[in-house]
Amino acid sequence: MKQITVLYYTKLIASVFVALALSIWPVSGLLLALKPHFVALVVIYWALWTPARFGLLAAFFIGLWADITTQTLLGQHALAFILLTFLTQKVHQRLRLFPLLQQTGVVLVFLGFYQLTFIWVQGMLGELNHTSLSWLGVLFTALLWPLTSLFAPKIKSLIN
Amino acid sequence: MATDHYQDIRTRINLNFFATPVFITTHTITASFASVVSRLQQGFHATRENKQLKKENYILKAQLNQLQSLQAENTRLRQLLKAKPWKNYVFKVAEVLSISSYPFADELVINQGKKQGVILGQPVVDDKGVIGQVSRRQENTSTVLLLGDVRLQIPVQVNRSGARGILTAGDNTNVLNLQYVTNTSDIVENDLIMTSGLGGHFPAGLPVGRVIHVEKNVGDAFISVNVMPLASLNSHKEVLLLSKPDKQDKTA
Repeated sequence: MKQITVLYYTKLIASVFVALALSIWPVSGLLLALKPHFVALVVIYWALWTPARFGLLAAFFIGLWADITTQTLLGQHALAFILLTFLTQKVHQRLRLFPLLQQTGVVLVFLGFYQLTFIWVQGMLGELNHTSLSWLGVLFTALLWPLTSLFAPKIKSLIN
Repeated sequence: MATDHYQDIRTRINLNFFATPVFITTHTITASFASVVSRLQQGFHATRENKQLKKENYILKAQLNQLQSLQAENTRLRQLLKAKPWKNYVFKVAEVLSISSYPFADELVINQGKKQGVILGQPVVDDKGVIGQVSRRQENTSTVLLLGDVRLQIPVQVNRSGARGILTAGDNTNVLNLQYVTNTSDIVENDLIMTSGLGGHFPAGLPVGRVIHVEKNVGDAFISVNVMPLASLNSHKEVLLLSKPDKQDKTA
């Protein structure tokens, strides 16, 4: 049991690490606006498939890590990830059974809320730069969601 | 200024320990990818590029000669006027590690930090003009706030007429706004905008941008001016850190 736990957290940290490395990938111009929020996807993935282990606390710490790495205000990503985790856990049983297209739609809505918390915090700080384009990034993130189904466990194995 | 913006800066410096491996990973992969690409390109274009560079070098050398004589003349004239001589600023090349990771901020992370003597608020330029200013320092890296970020505002001046204003970010990444230019100021399209040296962070006379649009509204105290930065703010691999030779790192 302990070994499985260690394996689980290794996978979790590794996936977040890869997502963070991708999200600070230097791109410029329009590509920057289109850049998907990889870490948000990873958070939704773990909250959806392992809701018993991946809770708000884990989301909080991943958020802090993301804040440090992307140099945003400390706690900004943490807040957004907590919201994402909460929403995902709330509907995880239904969301798992949805067809992929519908799942993507729900994820898009969640990411919309995620983006709203960002705009909210940035607006309060007076640092809101170019918001209209950043919604495209949200759309692209949601479009990447079907890729995570490659790593998703089979529904059958979850029932047994 | 931008430097005292974040309250949690001290915490962040200690926590950077967790961010460093991520930075290193991304930088190693992108850098090795870039080196492979450039090596391939070199194989294809080496001779042609060499020829072109030689030509360019020739022209640049000629221009440099001219410039040196002009500089000498300028110094002499300034001495005649009993004005202070121009200080020779020192340029230091820094590599760009990452560009701001999401569209709300216009920032760069560069590979020079406290240990390399970077100063908070140090001007950052490229070969064409001003890019921004150092806003945070870590041990071996620092963060540069770009002109397109709403948090950075610099005092500037029209090269032709001397009209002053404050340059701030616009609604669009590549267009900046020149604010607080009074309605009677002499400013037209295509004017060159330079740093004015007021405020002490930027030396006077660094080229910043060109005026692309001027709109005067009768009744408003200020003119609305749009400026296109000379430096391409979002395509850099290397940038130059500007420092005064006589002033050592006081903030360290």
